[in-house]
Amino acid sequence: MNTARKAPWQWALTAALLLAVASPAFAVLGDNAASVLTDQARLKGTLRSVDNHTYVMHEITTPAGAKVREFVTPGGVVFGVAWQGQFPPDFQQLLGPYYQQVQQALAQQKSAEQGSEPQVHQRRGPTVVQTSGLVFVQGGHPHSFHGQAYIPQLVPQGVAASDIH
Amino acid sequence: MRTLALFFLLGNVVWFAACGGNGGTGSSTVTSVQVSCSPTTVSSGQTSQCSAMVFGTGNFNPAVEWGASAGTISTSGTFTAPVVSSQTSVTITADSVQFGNVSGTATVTVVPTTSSVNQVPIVVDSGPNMNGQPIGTVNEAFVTVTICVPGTNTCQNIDHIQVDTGSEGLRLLSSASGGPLNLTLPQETDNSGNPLAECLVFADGYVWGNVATADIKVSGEVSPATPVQIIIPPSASPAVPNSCSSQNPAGGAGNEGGSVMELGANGILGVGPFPYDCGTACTPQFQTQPVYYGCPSSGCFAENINLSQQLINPAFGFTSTGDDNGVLIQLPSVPDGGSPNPTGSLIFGINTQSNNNLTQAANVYLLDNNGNLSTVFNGTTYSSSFVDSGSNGLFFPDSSIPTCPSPNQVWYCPSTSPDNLSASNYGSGMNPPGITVNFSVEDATTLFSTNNTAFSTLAGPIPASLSSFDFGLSFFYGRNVFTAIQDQTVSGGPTGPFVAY
Repeated sequence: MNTARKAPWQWALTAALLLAVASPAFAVLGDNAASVLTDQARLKGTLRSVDNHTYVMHEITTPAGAKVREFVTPGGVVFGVAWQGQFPPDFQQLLGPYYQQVQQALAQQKSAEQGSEPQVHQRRGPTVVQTSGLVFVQGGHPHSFHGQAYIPQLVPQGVAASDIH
Repeated sequence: MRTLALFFLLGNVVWFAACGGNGGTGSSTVTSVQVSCSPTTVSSGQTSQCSAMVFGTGNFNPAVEWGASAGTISTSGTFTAPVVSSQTSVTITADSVQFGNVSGTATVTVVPTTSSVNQVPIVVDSGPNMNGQPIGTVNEAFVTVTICVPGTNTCQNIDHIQVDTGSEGLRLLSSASGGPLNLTLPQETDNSGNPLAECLVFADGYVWGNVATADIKVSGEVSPATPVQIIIPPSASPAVPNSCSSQNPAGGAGNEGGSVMELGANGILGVGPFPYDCGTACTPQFQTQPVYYGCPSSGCFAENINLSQQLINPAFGFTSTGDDNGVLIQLPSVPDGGSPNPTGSLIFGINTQSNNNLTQAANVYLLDNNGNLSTVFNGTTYSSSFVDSGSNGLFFPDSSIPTCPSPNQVWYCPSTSPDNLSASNYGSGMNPPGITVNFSVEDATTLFSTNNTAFSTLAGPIPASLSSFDFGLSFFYGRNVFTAIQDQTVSGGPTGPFVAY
């Protein structure tokens, strides 16, 4: 039995205490579970938490029906996030320190596609970023976006990438 | 008819003083002539501007003599298309005046003038020009749209507007972004008199710019005094709000308004399954969304606005003809390996005229409230699938198909090409339940090594976790694809939203 594992209400309590004393930034991916509550407050959403033993999933639903799911290790670290809704989420807040990493990877993709190679054509469709330290995907269209981001190194043993959705 | 012209683009004249074989001092030679025309597809009576690059050695004469196999061409290279009854290729020739045996050619495709008030030609070519060259798009469907200052005859035709069934609203690239727009359209304001701007986010980028009003004219259809977005570059004012750029994973680099190359078009004609680009979620009674912004001189702030102030699907605005319930896209079949510059039609209305009868589609697929249907592929259900003329390939998960080597790794390169596959599409609420759709995938590296611009077999990978099969333009060739607008009635058919093909 992992002593670090807590019931959802315990998470909420811990998070609320952290929130009260630390007032953390909005960043969540790779951050501690306190940011779940920060995001809930920011999104004016309702929170549902499910303990799957290998991880805890917190789902925030906004009044408009958009959903953000945050996947937390037994050690209390957010290892993945997923979203769906009419609009994409604020990635600066959701991805935190990893936002820049996604930007850099996409900037590289773009410059390769728009380079001087005549036989390269820009892809206009879903976004996929796969680096050793981060996986980011987003698809859909205005009115319906969905996507996931996770840190492979932080995904607990026994959890499949496909669980993060 | 042939006419004599002086070639005037001196910046393009190149000397090859060091080229071997023919380099006698004092003599001059014209070695080659390269010709390009824009646009490459015109309808009868329309014009295409052609230019020649003359290459040579020594102090050669860069004058050329223009010729056209049909229609007329002026001394300055302006080609006027002849009247044709079916699609016709016209060869444009520029002969060196100094060395008559050295010449260059280009092909302009002439399509018949459409007699229908609700039909406009589509071309799938290599895109609008930037720095005198087409930007090299593939699988992008373009139309020409006329915009006018509301209520006036002050108008401009803008070519290479991309037809996008994945979004709603007309968006035009500003001249500051390098777009051809040169009309000054009246700025739209919010209820406090602040100029309105918009941030529209796509799956892979976003556009930012002011909201203005224009009469939108396509074929004989008119949507009067309609909100449109004028896309501006990142350097322009008003500045992109942080709440806009941070909705995109690429951040500031995701801004597609910097150039014609970045947008891939001179504008976007969003004719998807919704009447408004945002809808009720952006109206004042709901939580403020980072979509519309009031922009006083002190800076922009997100605000919700009434439906009547939002961008509309232009088809939804074609009320005077009754062709306001959706669109039909007709593109010809494209064989394996692709086609150069195929043409088709964008037709407004569904079951409203003789040319948009829903019986031209085999099945109608109801869409859910998010504009999606369900696709079953390889035994997995992808419940957020969509039919999107603005995606330039089929994007779906299949880990058994290899991706291409760099730099085309975002595309599929099957080991057996073509790879013939099939899926089943289900409408919302199982209406209809599971109808097979066949498609093929070819090696994208090989496809891109041709000069073709349209590929029915171009596809790329996405993770299964997206729960999505994106039927991009590859899917549209050889099909009649209808997109019906949410809550709009269709005589003899279901109420939108639906797609039918």
